[in-house]
Amino acid sequence: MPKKILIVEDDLSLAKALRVSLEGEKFEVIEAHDGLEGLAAAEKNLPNLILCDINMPKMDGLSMLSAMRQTDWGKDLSVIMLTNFSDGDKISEALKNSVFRYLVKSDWDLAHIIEEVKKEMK
Amino acid sequence: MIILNNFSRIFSLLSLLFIIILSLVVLINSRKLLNKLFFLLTLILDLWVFGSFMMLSSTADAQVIFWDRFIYAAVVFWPALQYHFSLAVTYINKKRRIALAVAYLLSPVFLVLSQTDYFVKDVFRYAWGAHTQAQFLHHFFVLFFAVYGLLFFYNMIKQYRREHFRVEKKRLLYYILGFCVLDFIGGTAFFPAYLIPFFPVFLATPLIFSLIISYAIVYFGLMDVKLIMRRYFVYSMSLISVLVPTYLCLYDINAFYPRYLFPASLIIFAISLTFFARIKNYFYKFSNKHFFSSLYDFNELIYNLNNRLRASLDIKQIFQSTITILSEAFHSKAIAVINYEKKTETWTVVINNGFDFKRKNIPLKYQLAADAFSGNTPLAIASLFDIFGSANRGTSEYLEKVGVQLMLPIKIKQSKLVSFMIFGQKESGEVYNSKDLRVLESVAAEIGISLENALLYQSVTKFNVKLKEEISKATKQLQAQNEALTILDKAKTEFVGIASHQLRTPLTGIRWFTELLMQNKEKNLNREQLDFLNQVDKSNHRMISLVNDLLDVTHIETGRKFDIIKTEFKLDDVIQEVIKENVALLTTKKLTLLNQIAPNLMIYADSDKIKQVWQNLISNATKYTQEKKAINLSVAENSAGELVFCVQDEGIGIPKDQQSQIFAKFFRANNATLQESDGTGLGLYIAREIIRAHGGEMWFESEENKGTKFYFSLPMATKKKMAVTIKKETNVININNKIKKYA
Repeated sequence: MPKKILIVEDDLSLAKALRVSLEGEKFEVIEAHDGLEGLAAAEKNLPNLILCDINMPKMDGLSMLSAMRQTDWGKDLSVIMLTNFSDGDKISEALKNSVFRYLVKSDWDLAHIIEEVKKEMK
Repeated sequence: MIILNNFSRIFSLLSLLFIIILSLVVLINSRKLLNKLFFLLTLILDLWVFGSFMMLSSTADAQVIFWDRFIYAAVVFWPALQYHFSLAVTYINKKRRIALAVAYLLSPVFLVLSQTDYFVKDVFRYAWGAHTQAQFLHHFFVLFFAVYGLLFFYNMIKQYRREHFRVEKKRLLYYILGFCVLDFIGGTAFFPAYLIPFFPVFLATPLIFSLIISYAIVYFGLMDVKLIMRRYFVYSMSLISVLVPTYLCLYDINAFYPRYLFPASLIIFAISLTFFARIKNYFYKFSNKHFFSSLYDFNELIYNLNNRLRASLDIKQIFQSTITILSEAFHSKAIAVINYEKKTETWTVVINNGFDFKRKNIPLKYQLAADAFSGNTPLAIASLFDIFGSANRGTSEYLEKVGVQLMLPIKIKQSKLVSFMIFGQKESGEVYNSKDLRVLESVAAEIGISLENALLYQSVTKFNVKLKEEISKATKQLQAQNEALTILDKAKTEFVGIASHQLRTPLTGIRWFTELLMQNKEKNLNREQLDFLNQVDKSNHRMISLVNDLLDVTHIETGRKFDIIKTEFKLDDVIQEVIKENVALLTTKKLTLLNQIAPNLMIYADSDKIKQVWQNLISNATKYTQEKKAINLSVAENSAGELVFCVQDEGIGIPKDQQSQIFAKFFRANNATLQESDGTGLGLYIAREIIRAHGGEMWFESEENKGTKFYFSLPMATKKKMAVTIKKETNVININNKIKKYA
């Protein structure tokens, strides 16, 4: 049974790059393109890991995260925030909600991200 | 007949007394020609009354003739002096001067003639006394007397008619009245000489004359002797009040009870003496109340004014204080201050106390003669005529119409304004005397100085106000600029937020898809294509680090420093990552990297940020070290318990003159730019800021062409006090061996 990973990312090309890489590593990948969609997809699929962007339309990643942490199904789900924000407030808010790792997208190769994902999955 | 005799005697004595006092009083202010002339005239009256009295009392013919000649010795000068007096009151021209000279020439002629038998001879006796008879030459004297008398009145009346000023008119009127009494009633003294039995009422004329003149002195300030008049008035009135009853009493006692004359006279004298003091006191008070209510002490006034003015630097207040003090002294009905502006030739009322100007701007249209008000000398309204001339008669008339009697020009140096204090009539109806004028002269000088001070103060104040305005303007400008800057700064920060996301997202796309391509899963890319992709990746990396550096700088600039998120991590992991990223250049340059830092060293810090520091230092060392040389990484603990890391290279070094600037933003040393074209000059700046944000410091030692040692300290502010053991174990990385692994 392959591990399920939910990608919540509004930039379709970035989402695609992530999907290609993760599927190459035999993960089952689900895509959502905003916070609301992501919340619904998370509840429906209960993924092993969520890779979540922050700045998105409709609902941003942090709102989605805090909403999810309120629920029974979502309070223990693993999340890696994957964003291009390097703003301190956002980082500390994400950490408050027990995010495993906070990654600035542009600073990391896909290979490195997959390493992080695998670390998280262990 | 006795009563008549008594009457003539009493009056002649009183006339004598009054006229002597008057002549002495007038003489006190003898600087003026007018007063001198008046004194001489009264002297003639004295001699005339005295002579007449003696003549009327004389019985022997020789005596009568002697006294009459005594009288004429004085009276011959009367027409000339009287005429001269009229000229002193009015004016002198060539014709008048000739007439005067003729009169003065004729007077001694008549003096000589009057002593001859051709003038008066023989005695004629009337019921009340003896008199001489006029002779042939006497007629000429009467003619001389009449002609010059008429000329006198002509001059006076002519002046009276052309005079515009009320006070001057009054003065003239009283002179005319006084001299009318003397000349026309007194002239009846000639009648007995022509055998006309006219009762010698003329003996009373000097008395009436002196009363009229005294009155005019008190009320209209004739001859500037008003103040002396008080004493004169008090003593003479007291004397009359005492002497007349005393004399009558004594006379009647002598007439009816001659036996008791001596004891009665003693009693009466005693009573008179007692009463004299009281009567004198009464008259003193009476005179003060009615005529001299404005008496004041000159020194006290100046002292008070000084005190008040010293306390004030406000122009209006200076004038107001002066007005208050002068009002108390003068009891003027009105005092005002008007300003004359030379440039616009306009008059403005500054302060008005009692004048009826109707408008604020006085409708005066004339040019002020430049030297008209040269000094601080007060000007009587009458003299304004002379100053302004006929062209400005309207002005003088207007001023008189509103009741101005006196103008006091106040000169202020360096001011285009001429201020005038103008004074209305005194409540007592008196005119301003010479003492008043002297006071005003002093006052004008005082005010002048005070006004100068006030103007100076005003200009200083104005300057201050202007300065304050300028400062507040500048402050406002700065505030506005500051606000604009704040807005700009906010915009900048917002831009940073946008840039961080907007720039990073496409850069991420390029990075990731290049990475996917470079994996070459289909094996359909040739070596050259892969090399191209590698170039794209390299450029993209540079772009990303540039964006990161700019973001970091902006963070520091906006005072937000870094958001340091400390975690515990193995330092070696970070260093290995950095080496991996620099391995390409290290390999190319065949550099040896000696890592002396214990591989198991755990530190508590922001790993990403610390990585950034290492990345910067190692990449610099790699870039600026010549081929086949070495780079050394080490750590030590200093006395403060801090870890001090060192990155040592054998590179080009930093020129001495540029060492102080090496941490400056956007700074790159000359030799560095020669060697490496790219680089923003932000790396060391950011690195040091990161270390400082951790509470540490960064510094270096460098020698040009020999190498540089970069140090940075990290305080051991650990969550749990970590025991750091630095093993003296060397961890030499043989770059050449590792190449394969990372390639």
